[in-house]
Amino acid sequence: MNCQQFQEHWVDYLRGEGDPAMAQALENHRTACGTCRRDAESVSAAWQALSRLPEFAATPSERLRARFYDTLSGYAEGLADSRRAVPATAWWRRLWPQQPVWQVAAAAACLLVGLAGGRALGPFAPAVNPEVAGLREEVGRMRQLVALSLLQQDSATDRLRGVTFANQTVMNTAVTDDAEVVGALLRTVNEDANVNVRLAAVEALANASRDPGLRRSLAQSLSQQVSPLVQLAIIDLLAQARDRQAAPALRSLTRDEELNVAVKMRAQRALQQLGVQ
Amino acid sequence: MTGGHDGSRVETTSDNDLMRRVRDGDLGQLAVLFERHHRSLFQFFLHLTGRRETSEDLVQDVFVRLLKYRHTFHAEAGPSGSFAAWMYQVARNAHMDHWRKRKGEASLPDDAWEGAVSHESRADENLQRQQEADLLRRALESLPVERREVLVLSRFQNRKYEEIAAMTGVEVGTVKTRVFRALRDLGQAYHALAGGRV
Repeated sequence: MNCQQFQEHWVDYLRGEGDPAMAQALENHRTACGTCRRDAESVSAAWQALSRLPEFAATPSERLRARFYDTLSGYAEGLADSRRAVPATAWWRRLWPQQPVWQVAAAAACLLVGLAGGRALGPFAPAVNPEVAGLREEVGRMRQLVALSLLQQDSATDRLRGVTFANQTVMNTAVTDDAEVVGALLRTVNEDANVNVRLAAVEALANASRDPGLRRSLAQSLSQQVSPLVQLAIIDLLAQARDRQAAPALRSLTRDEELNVAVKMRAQRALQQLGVQ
Repeated sequence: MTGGHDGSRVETTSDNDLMRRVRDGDLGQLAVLFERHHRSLFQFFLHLTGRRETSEDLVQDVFVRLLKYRHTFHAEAGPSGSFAAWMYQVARNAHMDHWRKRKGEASLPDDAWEGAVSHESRADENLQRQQEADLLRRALESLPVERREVLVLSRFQNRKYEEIAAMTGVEVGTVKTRVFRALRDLGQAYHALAGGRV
């Protein structure tokens, strides 16, 4: 074994890797070569000092995640905008006048033609460029993924941010299928440890309250909720949606003797609003 | 979208598959890669720069570069986990660019090593460990940036030799030798700083 080979294999040996023959060769070289012996001592000193350090626990601030998601969202939307823009072509540039006076005149003429054309074609809906529609869908899918990812984070701040993204997705159902996001929000309402996150999730779900299945799930959730604030928010949502199917769940709240008085009163009022008392 | 209400299918999709989707236009998949890798990247930069704020800026820079240069990703080429190798290659470039701009500035302030000492230890043990951590920090600071980098990747990031070789474009044997030399230099600097007590 030479010094180069010693340097190549010594750290593996410290890690307990390599076969016995290699270990013997390394020890023989270390005994014979003074330079490698001294180098090995330095390596061992550094190795031991590093091993005594506990697990490196530094974590980035919440700001990093917020910056990343803002950048990603902005980048995707910017990309969609840039693809939407029609690039100037060489023949068009040649037609465009060089003198500012003629440029103003040409712009005014284009404006007049545009106004007249717009008035004439007013009743017709503009055709949607399929590429633009595809990009919108892409941005929607991205928001959906970001929302689902954030809703699973340990930090309540992140989950609140996830609810915000989810809300944008739910409001934009024309371009995305929001069933997955609605499911995740419903799970948040039922399982999240933080009352503010649960409340925000109920508010976001209000935008999807036209779905009878969702309203049924929320009515079932009423009896599981321990926070009166969340119960009040769900009752309001069901009352505003005029969901008469929610009546049994609301009625059982009014009969619960241990229930918060404010919740009980709101449930009674909701039953009156629904006209099913 | 990879589906699943519980997100399990998202979690099991490989990094390479996710990055391929990003490359092919599904930019949202970068969010999953961010969640998987931003902490280890942050620690990589924190070990190299010693500055929290700079490290966060560099992590952000890496993900912007991944977006910008997504068309250059080719997963089929690399060894184990070629996305990680590619990402660390991008990270090394980001760090080198930062280092060139900031050359001459004092480096590795104390915040890199906060949290390196357990708060549950007794006070005297805590003090001794803090002193050791401080000595290591100063010893690491004295190494040339290339040696510091290979040490951080190998010892702190636990990257495999094959991955480091792929990132740096050298043979595995060369990586091993570089790790040996970086540790040797670190040990010597540590010994000198400790006044021969080690």
